[in-house]
Amino acid sequence: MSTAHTHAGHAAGHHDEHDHHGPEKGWRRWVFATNHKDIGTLYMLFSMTMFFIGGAMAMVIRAELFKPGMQLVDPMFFNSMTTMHALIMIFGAVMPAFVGLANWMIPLQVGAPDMALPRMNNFSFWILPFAFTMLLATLFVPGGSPAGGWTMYPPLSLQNGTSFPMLIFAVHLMGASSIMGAINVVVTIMNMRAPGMSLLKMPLFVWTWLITAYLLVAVMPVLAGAVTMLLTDHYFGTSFFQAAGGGDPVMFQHIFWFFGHPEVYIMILPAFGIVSEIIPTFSRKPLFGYDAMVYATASIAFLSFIVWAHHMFTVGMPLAGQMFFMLATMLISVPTGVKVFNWTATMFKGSISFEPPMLFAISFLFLFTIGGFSGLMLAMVPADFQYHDTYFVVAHFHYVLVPGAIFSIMAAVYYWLPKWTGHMYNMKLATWHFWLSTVFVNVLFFPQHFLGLAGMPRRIPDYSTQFADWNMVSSIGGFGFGLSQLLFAYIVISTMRSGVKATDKVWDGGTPQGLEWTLSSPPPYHSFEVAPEVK
Amino acid sequence: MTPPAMNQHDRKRGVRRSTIWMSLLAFAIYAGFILMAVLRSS
Repeated sequence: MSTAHTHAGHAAGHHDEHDHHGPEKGWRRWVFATNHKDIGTLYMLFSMTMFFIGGAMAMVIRAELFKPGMQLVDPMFFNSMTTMHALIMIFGAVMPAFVGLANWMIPLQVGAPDMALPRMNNFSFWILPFAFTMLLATLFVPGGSPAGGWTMYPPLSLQNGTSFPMLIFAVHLMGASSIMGAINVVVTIMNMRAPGMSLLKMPLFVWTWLITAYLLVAVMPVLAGAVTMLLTDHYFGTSFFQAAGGGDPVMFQHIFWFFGHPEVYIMILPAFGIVSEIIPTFSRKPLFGYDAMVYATASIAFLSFIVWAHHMFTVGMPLAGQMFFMLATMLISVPTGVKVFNWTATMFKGSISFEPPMLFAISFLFLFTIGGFSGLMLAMVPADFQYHDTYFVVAHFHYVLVPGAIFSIMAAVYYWLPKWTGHMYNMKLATWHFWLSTVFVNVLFFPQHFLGLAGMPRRIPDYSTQFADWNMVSSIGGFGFGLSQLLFAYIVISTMRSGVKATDKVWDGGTPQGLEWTLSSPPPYHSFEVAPEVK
Repeated sequence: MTPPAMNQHDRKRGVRRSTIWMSLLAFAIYAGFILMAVLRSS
């Protein structure tokens, strides 16, 4: 995607270090990639592939749930689909997409020539195809894929047979990849910013990724510890989580969700950063309240460590514990609200245009807020006793993840793809993709609120007939949403190959801030070899 | 705080130091949680 020629005007000192050359030819360029643009591209393409694989699993789920009764799949296979769909979407689609965006954009936005640790960057990426090949291979082993839920609660998760060690190894590898990627991001941002770029002058996307990276380094080892202990319980005679041996299955839940709650913020903070880049550009106004946005993001990250047990209100916790976690959870809505108001204030009295990135960003604003409202409802302990383990929870997290995280990733792709490839895409097709996605995502997930409130449990392959109508509506939404994403794949791939030449500023009508817009479209293979001066 | 101009030696030292600290932090959290679980289980 990047051109092979090097950036003109590099300092003489640089020549002494190595010969300037274009990228390697053929497969070697990709397997041995150390260039942040190439690695970013690898992550994005991997993420899109996993999005379609996880999406296919969702189609199986919605097809089975289209009508009551078991029509298409075995119940155990259905449980495997729900488990694998979540694992693939979380660890294979959303997280790698954000890491890909970080790889592409952080060096460009801070004026650095590359990430701080290019070879570790390569390793971080190439672990993932190996890990996911192993995870997907569990579909073909005796006993089938993991089917106990992506949360892997013992004792159920220990009962699946051959797939269990493959799952644990895959999770360890994904965790290692994320930790190394996060270390790379922190080290790059703290050591390689251009002169003049103080922390409070960095773009919001860089800030949100800095904070996300600290969260990753803090909590991915917790997940690794939890699954290590699952492994030793199963194979080495320990009893961390087995009551018969003096252990406690609820302790797994505590450890898992201590990882799991910051994990969901890891999946949304970069989305906040993306939206904070896009809305000012297409409103032709600077972001409202830059400092407040930074402090709000940091507050959200801090609070994310003290709310984990809201995922386990029904487990038998003392009332004092329930009250603490309820209040702390409600508190997170304050800095989140600050951000939503600031995005809205950025648009107020702006000169707004509705190109595809802006369409997705506005849709994010509205639909993520709906997800936030259902989250606030779930935070109330007595209410959650009704909602827990029902489709109300499923509706909540899909609203924050799909029109939240996924839409922000699509917004980012539509925003930066012309910069990456040097080609403009077909805006009309992209607008069609937007409207189809927005309509179908609501048809898919909004009725799930009603299903949850009516009492439909989660993770069931068949349901009582009173839930039939909304399940059929939801499934129709699912098929429509899934098909619409083929349009996205077509747009991205065709833009990579050809298209009208993009200008350097790309969004000429807007006023995009940021060092990335000072480079050509596409940028040189090696950019900012001489650090830019930031005023 | 404005970062110093990109002096190669200082930058490499900073990169090395940051990487070591972050790696130690990650390992400490991993070991710490397992140790906590061992202590809670005994």
